[in-house]
Amino acid sequence: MIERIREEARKAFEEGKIEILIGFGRGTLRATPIFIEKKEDVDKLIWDDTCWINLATYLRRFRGKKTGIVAKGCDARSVVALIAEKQLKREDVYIIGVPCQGMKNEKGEEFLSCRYCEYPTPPVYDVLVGEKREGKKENYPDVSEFESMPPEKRWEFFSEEVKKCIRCYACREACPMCYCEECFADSLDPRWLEPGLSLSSLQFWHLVRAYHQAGRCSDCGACERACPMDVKILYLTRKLNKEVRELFGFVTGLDPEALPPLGTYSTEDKEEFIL
Amino acid sequence: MKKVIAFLCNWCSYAGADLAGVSRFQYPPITRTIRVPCSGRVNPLYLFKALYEGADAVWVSGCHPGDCHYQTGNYYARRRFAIFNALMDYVGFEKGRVFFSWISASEGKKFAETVKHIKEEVEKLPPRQKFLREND
Amino acid sequence: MRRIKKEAIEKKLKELAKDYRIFAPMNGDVKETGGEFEECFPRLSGKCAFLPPEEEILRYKDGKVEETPEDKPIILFGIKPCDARAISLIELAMRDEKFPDVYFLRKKEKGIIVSIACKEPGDTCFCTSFGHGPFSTQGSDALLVEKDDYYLVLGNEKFFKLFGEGEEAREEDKEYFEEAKKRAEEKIEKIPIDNLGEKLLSRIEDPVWEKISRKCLNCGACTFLCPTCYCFDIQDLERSWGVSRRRYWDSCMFSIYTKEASGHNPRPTHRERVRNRIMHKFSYYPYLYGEFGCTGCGRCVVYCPVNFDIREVLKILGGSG
Repeated sequence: MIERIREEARKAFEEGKIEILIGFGRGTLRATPIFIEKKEDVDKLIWDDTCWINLATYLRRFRGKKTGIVAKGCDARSVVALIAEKQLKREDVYIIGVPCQGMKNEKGEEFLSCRYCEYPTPPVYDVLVGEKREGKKENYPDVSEFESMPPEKRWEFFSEEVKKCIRCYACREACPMCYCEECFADSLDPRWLEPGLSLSSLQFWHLVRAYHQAGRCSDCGACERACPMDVKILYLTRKLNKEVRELFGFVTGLDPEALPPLGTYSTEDKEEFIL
Repeated sequence: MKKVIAFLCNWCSYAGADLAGVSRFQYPPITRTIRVPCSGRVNPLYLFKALYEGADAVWVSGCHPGDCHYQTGNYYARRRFAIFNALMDYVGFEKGRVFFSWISASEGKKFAETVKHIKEEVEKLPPRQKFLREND
Repeated sequence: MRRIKKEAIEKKLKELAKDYRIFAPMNGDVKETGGEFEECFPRLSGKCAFLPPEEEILRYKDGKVEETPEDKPIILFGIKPCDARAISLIELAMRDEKFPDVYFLRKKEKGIIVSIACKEPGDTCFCTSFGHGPFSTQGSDALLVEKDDYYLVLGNEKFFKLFGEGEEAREEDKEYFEEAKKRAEEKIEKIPIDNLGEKLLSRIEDPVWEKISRKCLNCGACTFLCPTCYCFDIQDLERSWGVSRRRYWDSCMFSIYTKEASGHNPRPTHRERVRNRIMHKFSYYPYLYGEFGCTGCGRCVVYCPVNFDIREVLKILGGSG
């Protein structure tokens, strides 16, 4: 697979399709993002099961340049989501699609978002460097399991998890969809939530961050993996992805022309919750 | 006395509230109304903030689907608040603190009845504890 | 050197919990405990005892400004020598002539720091680069080395007064100490830091900064876990009784760190911010205080989501990588 990635990258440079390529290189502890500007450097590219960062998060930094990206399924869906939100132009991004085998942490355990991954193969790409892979067909069993717990237990779980948070915002910066010039958490006027580590402000941060991902998140899991304090957050974003699918029939990142679900409506939307 | 922060759309629900007043339909004085041009104007952050600051309940009310003064604002609101509701319910936040309704300018009676209903639901619950900004 | 039974120290620590606030590694992080501790390399470092993530510095109550009263003195127990050193490095900055940081200093003055030597350093440690190491006593009131059911102790008066003196160490203890120290130090990578401060300064406009900083996400993980980082932000919070003025950990990695009221930001991209962090720790700090602002604990390497490795970066910038 890696030879094909390098070959496609080399071709893309030779044919003038890209000015800069974002991919994975060998880091000191695991795969690390690298930025290649010369075709001679494509041999630095690697591919293994530590490539868990979502590289789409860097794309907006190179707007205006023809940018290539080595994208696994979830990364490619984030790229499509960014295009759908008009953050990037489709013609400025060259996607080298990699059907993903799943990523593992330093103990060799599979990540949660990989265990339930439905789109290991990029749905949109300029070139695909391997055989398409089938995803899992289950519809968020982890979320259903959480939903089956009684409400008090769910609140307790939520509170205990967020108490570990130190508000370093690694989750926000690792996420390709968190690109606001001013994040609501940093706003001083209005100051929506207090700074610091009080339980209510930690709950506020995580609830609203998950809310802002609804219909935009590609379930890549980079947020939870970036967290230095091992706070669980995927169960929140995955719930909202499930809701968006069930309520609006929308899956993030499959169609660059599709309007984001909260940016559109249907006259037939369900309204059981309305009094 | 319970405090319910009510976001009422100017053209329908706020007018409906006004009609309730003019028609002398009695309703409990628990609402603190914020008039918005359209239910689609309501940023979910307002709801989070209102609850965080200690509101006993939050309520958004707009025009009936198809009757929005701005044609489609309430359709966006409907989607937004479906997600809001789903999230708060999922994490185990108490049911009975978040309300959404469609009340038109001629539904003065419905407005009063809705406030009474909200008061009943809120009074079933203990005083605010979850997701409350520390104040000491 | 003295030797004190482990049991005795553990018991004493629990007794002292009555009159002291005990901070120790527990469940992987340094936190306030009732005297329990775990021997481990904690994720959240010892700085949180003297510089907590959220701290009230004064309050406005009943129409008057009140200083936050002093709390019980602190015993920071069981941290690694690199963390203990780090706190003395923070102190260099806090001891400003014109504006000493009262809140930190008064805690530090009354506090006691007891570190446990690192017999098994990690793969990402590079503490020996700075002339100290896994058995360093700098910044500690006592350094403990585990030996069977005893601790070998290199300590000062302050420590022995509280914990007792135990017995005189035996010859074999001193030999064990030297052996373990040598073995541990050998395992640790030394990165070249000669004239690093000047070298960095001379390269401040070098295009290499853009290349090395590219992958940085500008989150705050490295700064919050770093035992020598001490930046903070101050905000006023309304409370039912008045206003509480608090300070919070802040990070130079955040894009809003230097954003000015006009909207202008002198460090607008990752390049300026990463450069600033490295210059601060490895150039400005030695210039101002005579010591590098880093103890080589390696946490930033382990917990960086994109594997930004300061060791590699320093080798490149220092001209040897």
